[in-house]
Amino acid sequence: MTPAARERLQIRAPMLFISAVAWILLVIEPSGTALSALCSAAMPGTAPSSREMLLALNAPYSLALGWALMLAAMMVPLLIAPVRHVRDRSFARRRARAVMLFVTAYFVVWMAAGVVLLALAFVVRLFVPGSSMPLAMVTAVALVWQFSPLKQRCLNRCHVQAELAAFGLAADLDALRFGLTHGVWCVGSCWALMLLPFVFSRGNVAAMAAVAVLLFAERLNRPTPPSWRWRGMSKVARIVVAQTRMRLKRS
Amino acid sequence: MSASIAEAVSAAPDRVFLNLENVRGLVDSTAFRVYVGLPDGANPADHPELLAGSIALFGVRKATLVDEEHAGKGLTFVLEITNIVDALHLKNALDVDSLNVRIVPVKPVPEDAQISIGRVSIFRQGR
Repeated sequence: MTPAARERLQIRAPMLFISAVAWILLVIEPSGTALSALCSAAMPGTAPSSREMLLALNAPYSLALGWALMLAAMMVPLLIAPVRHVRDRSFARRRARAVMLFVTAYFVVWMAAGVVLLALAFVVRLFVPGSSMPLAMVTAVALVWQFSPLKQRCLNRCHVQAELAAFGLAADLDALRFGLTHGVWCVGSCWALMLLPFVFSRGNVAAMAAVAVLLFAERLNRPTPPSWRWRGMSKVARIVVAQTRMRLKRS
Repeated sequence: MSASIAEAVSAAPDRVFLNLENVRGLVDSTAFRVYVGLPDGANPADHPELLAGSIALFGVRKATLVDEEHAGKGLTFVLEITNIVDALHLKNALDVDSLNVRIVPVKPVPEDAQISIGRVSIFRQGR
């Protein structure tokens, strides 16, 4: 293994481990997550009184915890490239601090976005309970956003690697600023797809996994000029085909 | 014989690189000469031994645009400056806390070129 490959692995391995642990928690202990609270709130036949009870039982902190778990599972793999950039551009003695500042700022943005997204999902599911209308509405919004040039603008900005000062307070502020801006563009890019798992009555974790794969796949594509077009799995498909061909040739 | 060659190789100085990171601008047809360790007020033309290299910013305009392939990262140039640093060190003229890097345009740069450099950094690589 080359030193560069070893360096990449040092970043990739712990991040994928964190994501894997979060996924395992979501799969084996879905109760108490934001997802399950929202989904049970909208099961067919949910009476108004039980809705109130659900709202009372799902305290903000448990929703926040559930949302944080979702973010850890779905978003951490997307952070491999920017974290690598922060690490590469920081002195060895500052690396851990710079990465922590970047990641904290990024998750602060996503947690703030979670307030809006969870509220939106709650409203949609509580006021149209037991109907397929929320699924249809959110899918339509996600599809339009997925095709839109605005989504491409956000995706392009997710590839921006900010300049980071090397020393002192400026270095800390740059890492924070990079985390905040990256978080904002990431929310802009992913918000519509992140709503989707909340509108399924069953199979929410599977929906989350599908969304996570799509988010990861579209992030692999290079930035392109914004336009109306489908974006998603094209590069992943090319990688899979190329890898398969290479392995077949070797064997 | 092979032992002495090995010693000579292991005694070779570390390699030193000058990075010009996130070079952005709106005019492709610009080029610069990069000098390292040039004394203040010195004429670059009088010190060819301090010339780290020349850079031409072909493609810089496209690399500057956020909605293009480089996502606005600009261009990054890496110049090896081992010989210059080694020579400065042998002359006791190397101040590692303050090493001048002077970037001199080959031809006058138009005002609308808006050339900028995100970060200038120096990396040392052990042999």
